[in-house]
Amino acid sequence: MGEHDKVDAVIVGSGAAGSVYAAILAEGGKDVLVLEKGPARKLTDLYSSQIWARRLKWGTPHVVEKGRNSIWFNFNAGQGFGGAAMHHYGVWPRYHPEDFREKTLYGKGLDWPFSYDVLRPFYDKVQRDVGISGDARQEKWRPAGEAYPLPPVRVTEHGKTIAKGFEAMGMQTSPIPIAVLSEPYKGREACIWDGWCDAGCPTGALANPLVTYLPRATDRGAKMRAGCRVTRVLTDPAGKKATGVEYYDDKGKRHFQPADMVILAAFAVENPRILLNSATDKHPNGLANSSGLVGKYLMSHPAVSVYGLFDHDMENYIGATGGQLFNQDHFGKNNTPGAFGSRQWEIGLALKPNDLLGIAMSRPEIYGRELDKFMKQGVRGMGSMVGVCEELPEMENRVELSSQKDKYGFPLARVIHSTGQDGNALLQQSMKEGVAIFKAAGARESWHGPQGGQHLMGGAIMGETAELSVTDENSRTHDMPNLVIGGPSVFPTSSCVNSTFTIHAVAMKSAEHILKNWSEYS
Amino acid sequence: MIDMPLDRRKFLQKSGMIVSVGMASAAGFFRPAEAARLNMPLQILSAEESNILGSFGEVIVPGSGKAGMVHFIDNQLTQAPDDCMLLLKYFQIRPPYIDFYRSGCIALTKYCQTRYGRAFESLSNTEKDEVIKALVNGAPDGWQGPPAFLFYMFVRSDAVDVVYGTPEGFEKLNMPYMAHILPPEGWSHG
Repeated sequence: MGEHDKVDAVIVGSGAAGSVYAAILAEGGKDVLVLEKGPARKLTDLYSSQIWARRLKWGTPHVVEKGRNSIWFNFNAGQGFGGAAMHHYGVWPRYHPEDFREKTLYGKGLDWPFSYDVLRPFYDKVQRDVGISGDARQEKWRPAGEAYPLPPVRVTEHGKTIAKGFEAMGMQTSPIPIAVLSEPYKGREACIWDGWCDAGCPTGALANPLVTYLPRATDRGAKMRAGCRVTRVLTDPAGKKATGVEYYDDKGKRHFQPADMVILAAFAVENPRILLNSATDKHPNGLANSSGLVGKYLMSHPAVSVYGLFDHDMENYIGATGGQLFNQDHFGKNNTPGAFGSRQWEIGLALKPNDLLGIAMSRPEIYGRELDKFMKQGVRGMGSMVGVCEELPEMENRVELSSQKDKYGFPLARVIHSTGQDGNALLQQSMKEGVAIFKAAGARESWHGPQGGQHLMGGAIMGETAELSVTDENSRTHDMPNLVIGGPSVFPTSSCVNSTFTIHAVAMKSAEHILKNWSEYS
Repeated sequence: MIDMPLDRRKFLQKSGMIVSVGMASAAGFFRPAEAARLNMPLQILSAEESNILGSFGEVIVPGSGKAGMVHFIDNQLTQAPDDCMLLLKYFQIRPPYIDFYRSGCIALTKYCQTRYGRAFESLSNTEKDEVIKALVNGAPDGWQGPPAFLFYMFVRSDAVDVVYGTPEGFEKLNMPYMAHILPPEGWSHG
């Protein structure tokens, strides 16, 4: 087994959460090591191609799925430096105050162990660090917070046309809040609106970790190690403290990396898998699992793509993949008849011909000469938007260990996930509403795709008590003082908003607390 | 088509991010279309599987044969799952991915033999169209293999990738490609 020098903190995963922990702790003078399962990717590796974009995503078989609705793990997760944030679209709305108090306010879902007001300064801080384009005044649904540091993104005929449909339906649109630079910001170039966000943004205009927090971390001495598949967190003989992590390198060699603190930031499926695989005689049900809740309350946003064909040039190839405009008219938890939960629209997504969200796949039943005709119409006249819905935390939606094993002999993750009644009703309403909006905008034809699953949350939720949650309000596990969970795993509710901004803010809050209270943790 | 905006031109000049497409060929790489034209040997797919997939893909996306769909699939099947660039990796299909294509080819041949007494490649255009319509509807009578619609959809995606998803494909659609960094032109067949 490979042995290594002990570090202050080992961080498992280099994505949205892992990069923030690495930067804050390294800047605080800690000796930090980041272990990443995928390759050591650079900006110059990010080719503009929807085909090559698939290298940023998982292919390794490690999720066995059961239940009615896929969580689309391989599509949502990422591998290589930057993790899933390398291919995310940068749509960065904030959670709303009611998302943090759902159980108290509505008797549904769960409460977070803190309110929006506690997280607000961290949203503001991350926003200043990273740069978000938007218009806080026009975004009437937006919770309190500092105005966006950058003006809104460019709106083309694509956004303008669909906005008319919203207006005709008595709904409002605003510029989308997006972590894509509309102007140069802190040494990074502005976006040139060519829609390659999904393939990873080599210009640095989109806030991926390679241009935001990872350079801050490495500039202050943090080390990054690629090709390290972490399998377990190891503990002292008494089972009271984590001593480091076990991992396998690309050649299949086993290593032990000792550390005073372990931060798992390996996304919503892998975090629980590692904790469950780390069972010992002192922790027979897995680490940090005295509540029995490790793996439970897994959530994914039910989402639908809606399309329309117009007779004029929509300029749909210009812009950001995340969209141009935004709507949260139905964010109110009781605004959709027959369903509890929030909904939102991301409007005017830049289109490409191929891949899962491309023009061809919007009508998979078309083939032959008709497909060529459709493609030629689509590149000129297609409009698109995405409806994203809330999914309530249900204990039955979970990550557990499969009987199938990986090549190192550790069980794969088995995911059981079905969207509940409320999530289904929200989605059905979004499907109907989206088609109606396109018709109102003047589309000669409009349709929606099947249910998709965007973003993954839960699996190691935070809460006030050790009986009802896995971590405390600072993402530290209740059971082990030097074991911290980073990323969306700790979210007790999903809201309907894209999770990456909140992942950053929660990680920032946690990392700053660790730094101020280091002796309590280590 | 739009003109390249000034800021874009400046950016590309400044960053030097355009990869020379000629280098890849000079280094012994081949585009799928070139590999198909040269009839390069396949690494994973058998000749029979190549014929089935080629014929099937050509009906779904005309031009996919010339664009090298079979060589594209074959080359990607040689890659580790994480590096694979076939759409099916999004769908939690268990590697090795050849198993999915292979079982799909067997199922398609068996279905066509049972229904028409001939393999897919030997069917008339009308019969091929009937088969694909049955797959699109998802439940062809007697189909024994991977989910019929998924098999159709993955091959369709592979064909769309090589016909429409490349710089040449964008050009045919009159859609600006606007690359920050052009992908390497070829895939190795060494």
